[in-house]
Amino acid sequence: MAIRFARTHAHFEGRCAVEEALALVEFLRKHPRGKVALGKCTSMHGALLQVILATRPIVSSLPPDPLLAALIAAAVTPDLISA
Amino acid sequence: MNAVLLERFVQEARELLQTSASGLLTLERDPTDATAINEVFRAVHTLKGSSGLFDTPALTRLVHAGEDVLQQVRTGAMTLDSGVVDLLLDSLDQVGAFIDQLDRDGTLSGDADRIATHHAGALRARLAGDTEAVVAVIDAVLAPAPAEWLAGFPVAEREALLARARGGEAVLAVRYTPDEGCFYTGTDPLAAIRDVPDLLAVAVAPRAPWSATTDDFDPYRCNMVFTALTTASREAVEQAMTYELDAVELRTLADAAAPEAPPPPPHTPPAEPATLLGEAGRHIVRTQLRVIASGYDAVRLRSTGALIGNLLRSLRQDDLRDHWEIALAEAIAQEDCAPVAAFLARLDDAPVATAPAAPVVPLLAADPAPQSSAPPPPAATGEPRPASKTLKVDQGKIDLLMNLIGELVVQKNALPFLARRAEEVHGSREMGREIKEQFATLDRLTQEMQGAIMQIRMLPVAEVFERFPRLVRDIARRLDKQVELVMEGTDTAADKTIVEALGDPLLHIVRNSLDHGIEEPATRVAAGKPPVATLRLRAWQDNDCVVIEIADDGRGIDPARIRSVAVDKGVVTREQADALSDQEAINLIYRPGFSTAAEVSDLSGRGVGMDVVLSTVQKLGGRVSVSSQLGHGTVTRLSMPLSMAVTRIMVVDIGGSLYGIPIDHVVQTTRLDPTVIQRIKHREVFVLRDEVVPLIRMTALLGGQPAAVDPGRGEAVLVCRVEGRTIGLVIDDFREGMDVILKPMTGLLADVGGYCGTTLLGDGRVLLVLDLKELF
Repeated sequence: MAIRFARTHAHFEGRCAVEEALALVEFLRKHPRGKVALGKCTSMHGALLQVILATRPIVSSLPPDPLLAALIAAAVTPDLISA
Repeated sequence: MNAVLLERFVQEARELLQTSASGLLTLERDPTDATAINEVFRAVHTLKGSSGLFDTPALTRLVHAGEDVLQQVRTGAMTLDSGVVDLLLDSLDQVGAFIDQLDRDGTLSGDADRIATHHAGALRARLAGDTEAVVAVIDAVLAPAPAEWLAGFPVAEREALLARARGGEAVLAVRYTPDEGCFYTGTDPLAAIRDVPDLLAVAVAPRAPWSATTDDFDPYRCNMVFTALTTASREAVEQAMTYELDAVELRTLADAAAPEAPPPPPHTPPAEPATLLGEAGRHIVRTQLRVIASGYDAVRLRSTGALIGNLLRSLRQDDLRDHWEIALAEAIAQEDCAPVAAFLARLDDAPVATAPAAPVVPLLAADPAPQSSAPPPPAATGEPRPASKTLKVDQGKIDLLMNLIGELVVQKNALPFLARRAEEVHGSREMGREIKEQFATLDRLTQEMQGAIMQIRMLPVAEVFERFPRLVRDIARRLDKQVELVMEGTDTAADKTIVEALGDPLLHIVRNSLDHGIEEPATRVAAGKPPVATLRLRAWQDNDCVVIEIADDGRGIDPARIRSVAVDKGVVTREQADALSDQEAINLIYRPGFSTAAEVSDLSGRGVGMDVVLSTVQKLGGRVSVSSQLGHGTVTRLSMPLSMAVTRIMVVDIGGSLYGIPIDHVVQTTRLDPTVIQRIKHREVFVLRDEVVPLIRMTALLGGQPAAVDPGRGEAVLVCRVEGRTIGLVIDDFREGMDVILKPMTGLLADVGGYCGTTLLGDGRVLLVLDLKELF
């Protein structure tokens, strides 16, 4: 129950903990156009949120949690234009 | 137990505060006074340590800040000016107010966190090299939130919330700037901000702009600032964020003028027409509109579908989401984006009135009172603190009082002599009787006084028991054993000296039980016992003794093993060992140099254990006994005198002088017909209850002429038990028993052996009290 890294997608599943932050940064560094799928993410640690805010990857699905979804949507949507 | 602990903490804290305050004043006059600095530091440090025992984070935080400042003063990193002294004194006053609250209510008031954070922030702001300290606001009325706080929120949402605030609802803005290293301390700022109750909306922004490249981005350095809006009360927010208060600022959302002004017209038009989606949502919708406008693409459409679906779910628009699903299905079926585009266009224009843009929050009953009321000024006003009912008195003063009462007792004992003189010398029986009556009253009063002063010196054994729960737990964990500690009779009281001296012997016994007595859980289960062992500490009063029993249900002591170990270690010979009964064998563990532990552990088994117990207890006039049942456990019983101060002695006449003998030793008094005294070689003996008892002529030992034996009555023999042996002391005559206060031999007499002290007789004569253990 964590981040599952596929070829071009990082799938957040269940509770995603602080330890994953480094791996996520690594993934996004290797795949600058990699996508983040948050549809199955029930909660994430602040550090992961920070990675998403800082790197603004393409978010292919928002988390079901409204608060988290709003925070992420507000930060990453401008980039969807270029996507 | 906890209440007792708290009571003592309160007392101690007040003293420490007093010490620190006077020390600070000394320091203000002379900032270089190292003694004063150290004194203040130590007091505050102790206070911090003790406060950690209680669930009072506010108190601890404040004292901790004070300690940090003092530490810098101590190391010279900071000089103490009167500004800092003022701050410290203020903080100490606040701590004093907290202590009063604790004393009165047993807990701190709801705003304690805020007050503590404010004071702590003010103190930390003075710390050299710490410029980032946030001085929390303590203002009675929160300042309105600056506009930039709200910049992170979508316009529509912001306006909706502002409108709610203007409508009279108390909306708080919480600005949370987590520490940069917070990820390393296990803090999850996201979770922390989510803990704020009754959240309306949250926004997050970078503290410093995100770097353009990901190469030098450190995911474990927190660079976020959260702003949350909530309808919860200030106390509730502070409660929720209690561990992060240093990093939190609070503001109210309402305009400063709003509370006074009449409610604004209900239809304040928002700057931008409010919509269902809010700014971000609209952005998403518009972007997706553009995406699908480029033509039908099954993959893209699916992604759009998921995104909008989630957006609607996040807005809790379940009906709309159903519609969206239908439109999406239609579009896929027709391989045309038109139904989707039409839905999105409608969505873009949907008015806010259909549903609130933010998660629905139950309207709070307007209760701004707790927010606007000023926190009570520390200690200045407020009801007067009830005078403390406990006195702390130097032990020396009590001892002095005790001695004086002792003198009074002695003086009182002179009255019967006086009465006899009145009768015999002056021939006035009436005078004698009156003196005796006076004596009876005086006797009662002095006895009551003595009792009262004893009470002062009495302490509950809880004093020594207190440390065992923690100790047992720690040791048991280290040894991988499961032990339940049961304590009974903790309020049994005994003399302070005794209770305090009991600590070490008890420690040894408990350690021995845990180390050697109690088995590992697996062994216990194999032996048919529950895996969790029980260690029982019991105390009770038995006449003039206090008995403390340490019982475990471990493996017990094996007398055979004790025998063989004792022989191996040369404590006894094989023949002696074989002659011992099981109980006597068990008693061997009290011999010096005895330890059965196969390997020396750091817990017990250094070979100094039990004989130390025995000698300590005996020094205090107590007794130790061990009984053990192999496989069922061991019971160690310490029997201590209730009070050290008064010793009961028997006065005897030896060679024309009077001596005292502690009554503990006396087994019985008897008169021996000279014919029953037999001789074994040069020793005289007699037989008492089938036991051969050696006789010792005390006049030979102490000097003086033996009185002529009255043939009709026989020799006066005091049968005593010394170190487990029975001896008969041949004396001249028995006198009365009496309670005396023993004065140890001092000065030139200190080295004279054989006496445990002196006391005064009623007629002023000095009575020497014999120490039989030293004599024989």
